[in-house]
Amino acid sequence: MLRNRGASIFLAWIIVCMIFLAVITLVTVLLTNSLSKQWIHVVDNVITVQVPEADLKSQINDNITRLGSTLKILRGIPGISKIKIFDKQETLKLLSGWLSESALKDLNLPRLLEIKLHKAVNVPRLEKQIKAVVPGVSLDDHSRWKTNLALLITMMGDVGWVFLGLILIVCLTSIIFTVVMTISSNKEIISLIHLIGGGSEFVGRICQVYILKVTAPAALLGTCIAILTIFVFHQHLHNLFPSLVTEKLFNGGTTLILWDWCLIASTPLIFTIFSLVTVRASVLILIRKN
Amino acid sequence: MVRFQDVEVCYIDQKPILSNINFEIKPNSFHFLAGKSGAGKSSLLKMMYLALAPTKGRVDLFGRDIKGLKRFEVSNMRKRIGIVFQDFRLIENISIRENVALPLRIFGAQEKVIRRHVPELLDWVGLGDHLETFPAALSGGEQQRVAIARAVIARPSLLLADEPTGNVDDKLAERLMYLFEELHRAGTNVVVATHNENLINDFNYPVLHIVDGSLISKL
Ligand SMILES: Nc1ncnc2c1ncn2[C@@H]1O[C@H](COP(=O)(O)OP(=O)(O)OP(=O)(O)O)[C@@H](O)[C@H]1O
Ligand SMILES: [Mg+2]
Repeated sequence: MLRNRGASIFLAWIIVCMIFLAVITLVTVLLTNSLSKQWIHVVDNVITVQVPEADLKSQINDNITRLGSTLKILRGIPGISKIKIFDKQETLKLLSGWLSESALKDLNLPRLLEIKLHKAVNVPRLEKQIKAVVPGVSLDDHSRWKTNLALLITMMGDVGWVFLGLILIVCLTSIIFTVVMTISSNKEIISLIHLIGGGSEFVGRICQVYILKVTAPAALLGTCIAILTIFVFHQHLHNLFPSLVTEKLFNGGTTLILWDWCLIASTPLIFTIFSLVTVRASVLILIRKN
Repeated sequence: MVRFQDVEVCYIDQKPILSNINFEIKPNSFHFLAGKSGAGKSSLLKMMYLALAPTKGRVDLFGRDIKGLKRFEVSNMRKRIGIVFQDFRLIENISIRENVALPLRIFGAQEKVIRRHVPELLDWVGLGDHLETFPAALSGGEQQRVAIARAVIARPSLLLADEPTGNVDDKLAERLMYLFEELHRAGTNVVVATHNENLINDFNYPVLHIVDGSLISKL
């Protein structure tokens, strides 16, 4: 019944783009959240011990004895469930991703131990204890890395929500704009409806139907394009970094869980509800003003 | 039902087009409203459907002074009034079926009721084959009949028809008058504004005659 071609084409495009951005943002936030949990889980309750090569001044010059002494102390500590010793080859492999082969050749590599804990251990005290016997040994419980990662993820999440808020504001402003345009370009029909006895409620309802016919398909299209983009992009990322990015985007827990996907899929629905409320409110205000 | 007391109307900065208007339309009545072109028939009807406020005097509708009505009260009163506009005011981009259904939708009637009543009435006014046609594809007389069907579909208690037979031949005019009479018998108050003397003579109903801005009742 209402007609406003120009404004509805404008609105449809805005909504497609905005919902696309919203879904991408949402997926980014959810994905970083779940990936960070995954990474933090890997280093949770793990301590890495570095036993450097003996230098000339050391009291215990024998590398094997240094490693042995360290292990001996560690084995006496309650709360340690597993100790994994990395040999030279494995250590080289760990570093090969970061340094070139020639650089690695000249490097005096420390021996690495990975300790799995089943109970909290006082890391600084343990380090002191080992250092007293084997100087140069250092312990790292990755707490700094974990704190930084958590901070980064929280920040990304906050930025994501601000971004989503801005997107919603743009969408709702465009909807209000379209409603204002539509009401003013359909004055005759609206005044006829008033004369027949249709109040602002009825006008609100036909405006809702009108806007819904534009925004609902646009929101759905935006969501579909976004999800498609995410799958393509994810495949690309997986090919580039197979060890960091899992092959499947959805595998029940390690990446996006069902709940995350429900949230993503409900984006157009949530948006539609917001837009219907906005249309109704703006029509009521506009008509009351006239 | 409708009562005018010492009503005067003037459009902005002009001399009054109607003054000293006094009359009453009792429930269950049928009136003609006559007068030359430009006499003020449409303006008088506009006051009755609350689209024009009197500059002086008092208008009562359904037993209430129309001054100071709240927005929802105006809507509720208009729901009881059927209007045939002189310029039809059909909505161009929906079919005539949807045009006629509009009052029922405003009333919140069930889809089932709308689907039954609208074709029935359009059939009655001779447009049963044009349900899905758009107003622009109809002749002036056909559009007028759509406007009449829209005005009466919701069974108003007051029907205000502004030149409802202006664009149809005498035979069809008579047929439309029978429709109004039928509604009248069913309890609708009818006011037909017209300058068709034949119509006024053929049907024996009281006439409100506007002459030089004043009302002369011929009963
Ligand atoms: N909105 C308006 N603003 C100013 N003057 C108006 C307006 N509407 C009507 N008039 C004037 O009021 C007078 C009465 O107009 P009205 O339409 O009521 O006449 P009418 O009896 O219905 O005429 P007709 O038979 O031609 O339809 C006319 O002189 C017209 O010019
Ligand atoms: Mg007129």
